[in-house]
Amino acid sequence: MASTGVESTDISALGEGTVEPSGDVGAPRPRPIPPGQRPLRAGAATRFVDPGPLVAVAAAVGLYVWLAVIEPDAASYMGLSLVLSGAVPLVFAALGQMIVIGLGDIDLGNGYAVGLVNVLVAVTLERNGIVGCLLLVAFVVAYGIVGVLVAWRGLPAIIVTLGASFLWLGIGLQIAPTPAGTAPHWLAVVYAWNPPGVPLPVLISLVALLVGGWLASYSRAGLALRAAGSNRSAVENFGRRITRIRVIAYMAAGCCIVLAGLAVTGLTNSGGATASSSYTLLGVAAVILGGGEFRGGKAPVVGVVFGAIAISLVSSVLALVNVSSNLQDAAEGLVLVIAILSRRLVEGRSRGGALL
Amino acid sequence: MRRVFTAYPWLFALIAAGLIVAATVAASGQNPGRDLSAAAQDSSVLVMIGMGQLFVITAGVGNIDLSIPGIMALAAFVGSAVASWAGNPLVGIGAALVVGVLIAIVNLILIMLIGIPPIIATLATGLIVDSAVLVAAGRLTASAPPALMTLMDTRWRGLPAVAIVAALTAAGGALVLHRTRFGRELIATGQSSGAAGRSGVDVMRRTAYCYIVSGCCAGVAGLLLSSLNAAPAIGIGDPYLLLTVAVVVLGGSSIMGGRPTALGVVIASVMLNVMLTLFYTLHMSIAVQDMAEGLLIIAALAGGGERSRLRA
Repeated sequence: MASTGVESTDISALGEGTVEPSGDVGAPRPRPIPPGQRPLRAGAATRFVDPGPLVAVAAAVGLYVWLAVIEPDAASYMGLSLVLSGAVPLVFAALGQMIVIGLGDIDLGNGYAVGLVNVLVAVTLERNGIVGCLLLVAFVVAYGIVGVLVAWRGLPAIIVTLGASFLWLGIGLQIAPTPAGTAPHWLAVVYAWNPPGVPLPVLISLVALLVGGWLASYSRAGLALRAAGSNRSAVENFGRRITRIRVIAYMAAGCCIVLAGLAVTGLTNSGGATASSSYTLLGVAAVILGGGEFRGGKAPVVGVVFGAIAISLVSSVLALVNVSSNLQDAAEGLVLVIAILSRRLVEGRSRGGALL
Repeated sequence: MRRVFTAYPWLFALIAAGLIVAATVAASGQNPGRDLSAAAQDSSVLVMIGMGQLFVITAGVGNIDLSIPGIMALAAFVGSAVASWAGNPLVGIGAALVVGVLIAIVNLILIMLIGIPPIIATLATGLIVDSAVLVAAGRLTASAPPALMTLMDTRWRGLPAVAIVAALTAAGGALVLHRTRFGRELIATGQSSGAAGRSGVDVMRRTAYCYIVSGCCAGVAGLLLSSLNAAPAIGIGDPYLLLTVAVVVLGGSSIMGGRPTALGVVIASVMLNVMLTLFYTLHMSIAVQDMAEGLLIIAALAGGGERSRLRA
């Protein structure tokens, strides 16, 4: 198989090996394809072969149909609204994670950051609108600073965001040591609204999908993000400042997290610093299920939105089929494995085993 | 200056640890010994599992073991139960090792046969093991082996026994990494799996051994930790999950693999734990402790950690 070709793309995507770099890694030279070997499907061609969001969409729809078969009420307007409401915060958290993973980084502070916004909204914003808004802006700026730290001398994102996660948790606990506060009136009204015809969670997910999908696929910002994630040196050679792209991307991720925090507050009507901690890993799972890759360069919004919905549907299905609560974790783990396994089968090619 | 940090990547963690110990001594007045000895116990557990994580991370980009807390908890329950059934703590340790190896094999099946990225594969295994722990907790006797509890209470020249076990683990790990053929091949694999593979290294096998080492370390550490606490408990390893990654990187090893330092893991574990001791001595609230811990991790990294142009 085209193993040599696969490795040459790997190296260009990663930048360089840690051993001595052999020349300019930013510009991989085209190499002649030996006779009898199929050319590597790369670049634009892969986009059509790539199943993209299909796996995530199939998983979400399949789980929903299963749910509706077990519990016919889930198919009604209110049922759909109830079942999907839990997915809304995860959709936004996963979109934030997708932006960071799109750069080739990873955000381990995502969940606690959602918790911090949750606390800020439920406690501070509820009491004092202006201070609350300023703090939320400060939070987005702080996310930008995390981006600066990662860009600055190339600190590993996994550890910077891990350190940041302790910060978010600490600040959140300082404001609300135990779950406290209530949702601001306007937010409660928004999340209690039942729009005609389309349940609110569906509407929100749809808007997120269309706006996010347009930004990621057609805007200059989305292009810069995907380019910075797939080939840093090339972007720099084009005269774009990678640091700037990274900082803006982290601030965009911060904005997604603010939306996730608002959703948590609107749905739970309370603020807890640790209540959202699971979103970090669930968000990563949603991004991978949706077609993202750890090496960066992808921003599959449609897949991520459906991936987040699928993952949050898993717990609803498990609750309905009477899985013992002891086994809930295991079932979630198995579903994760099955989801990625099905992605591998649809893609029909192994992606270099142990590599991310 | 920069060259010194490159040659001794753990130097920053060492300086930070020294400053924190000095601050602790200043803050706690006459008797800092007891606080610091408690820190020695906690950091010993962290050293053991951190060494396992070091092996896995050394294997190259993307390799990480997030099933460590699950292994620790399950090994604690199974090891304790088997030890009391056999009446021999060594059999319990053997059972803990078996648990670690079996879970590592599950990880490896997911990673190598199915091709799931390690971060997701080990996370999924961890979730499955968590459920097994919940089931085991309801059925197995919940008391650590008495012989191990006595051992954990013994001291040799003031050093708690667990610290000696951890020191031996770290020394063994350092020897294997830097002085054996396996270690050399592993480091080559981590630096460039393609180059290592072409020069005749069995890359998959080297990587596989790392997860098994990590499983074994986590299994024994879980049993020892439950002996320190007198009983195995659900979620016994959870606080350690991200700390294992933190000690590897703060110690100066590359998160991208291929540049391990075992001494760094020891120093960084001690640093994190004396820091927690200092916070405790200063009566900081949990919230402030978390904030300070986060800032310190970032500061340590920015100050002296990895300066690679690569990211994870």
